[in-house]
Amino acid sequence: MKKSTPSVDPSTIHEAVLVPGGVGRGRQIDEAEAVLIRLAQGNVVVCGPSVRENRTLARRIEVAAYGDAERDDAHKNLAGPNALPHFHPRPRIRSGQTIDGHCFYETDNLKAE
Amino acid sequence: MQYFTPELHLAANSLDDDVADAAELAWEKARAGYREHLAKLKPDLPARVFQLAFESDYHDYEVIGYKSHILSDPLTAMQPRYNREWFAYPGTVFVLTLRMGEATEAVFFFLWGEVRVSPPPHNWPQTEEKFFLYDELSSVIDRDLIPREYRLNILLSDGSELVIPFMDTFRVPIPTGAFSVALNGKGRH
Repeated sequence: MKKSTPSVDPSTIHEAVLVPGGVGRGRQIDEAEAVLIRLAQGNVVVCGPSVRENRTLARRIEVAAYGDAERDDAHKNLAGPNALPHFHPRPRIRSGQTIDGHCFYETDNLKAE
Repeated sequence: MQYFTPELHLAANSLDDDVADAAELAWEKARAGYREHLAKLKPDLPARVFQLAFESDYHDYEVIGYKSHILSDPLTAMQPRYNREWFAYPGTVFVLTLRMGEATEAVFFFLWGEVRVSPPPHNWPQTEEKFFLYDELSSVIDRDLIPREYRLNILLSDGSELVIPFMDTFRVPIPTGAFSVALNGKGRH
């Protein structure tokens, strides 16, 4: 008898809106657009039930945009319930300028608004 | 660092999914643990230390520099702008200068001990950059001592850790023009 594998909803990518307490989920976009938004130093967020898939996709977007990525956690004690871990470029400073923006992702317990 | 340790940061950055997944959970525990720790400190924090712990967030700020200064004449140097209580403890001030975009701030710490800088773990990716990652505030002396003694640990993105033993703190926004003068010897016109 064939074993059924539990289906997991795939991760989705959205424009991210910084809101008090964390990150809001904006318009859904595809991976190519997410890379362009990151290149323009905007914010994107990867949402979905699987933290592993979300993290993998978020890292891939950041690496596609900047070559390497470093993960940071949600911002310490000031962070609200919607503060999410995120990727930055590594290194962050390119041609003397700090690259702005984040590639956020949802975890099991931390979700975008 | 007791909660947001360099090792945890490295694990969360692992390309091994099992290691990174475990680190996600460990981060959540660390964050909860630190919140609980801060909640215990909260009732006794003086205003400026409270501000540092609960109203300031320097995550992602670039660390422009840091330096200790010995106050030769604290009364003259500080008068009349700041509270007199500090003048009973002349000594050393540590200044941490941070920048985010156009915003630059100097954070001053009145020390009760020597600032230490711990090197990064051996497996930390090498980088020249210094960004502010995480900080942890702790109280080191019993409640009867006034002013109380605190310690701020800061993990930087180059993997080094600053340990700042301080009694009081305040921050000063630095006007962009002034910072330009300090850096380049000429102001913005």
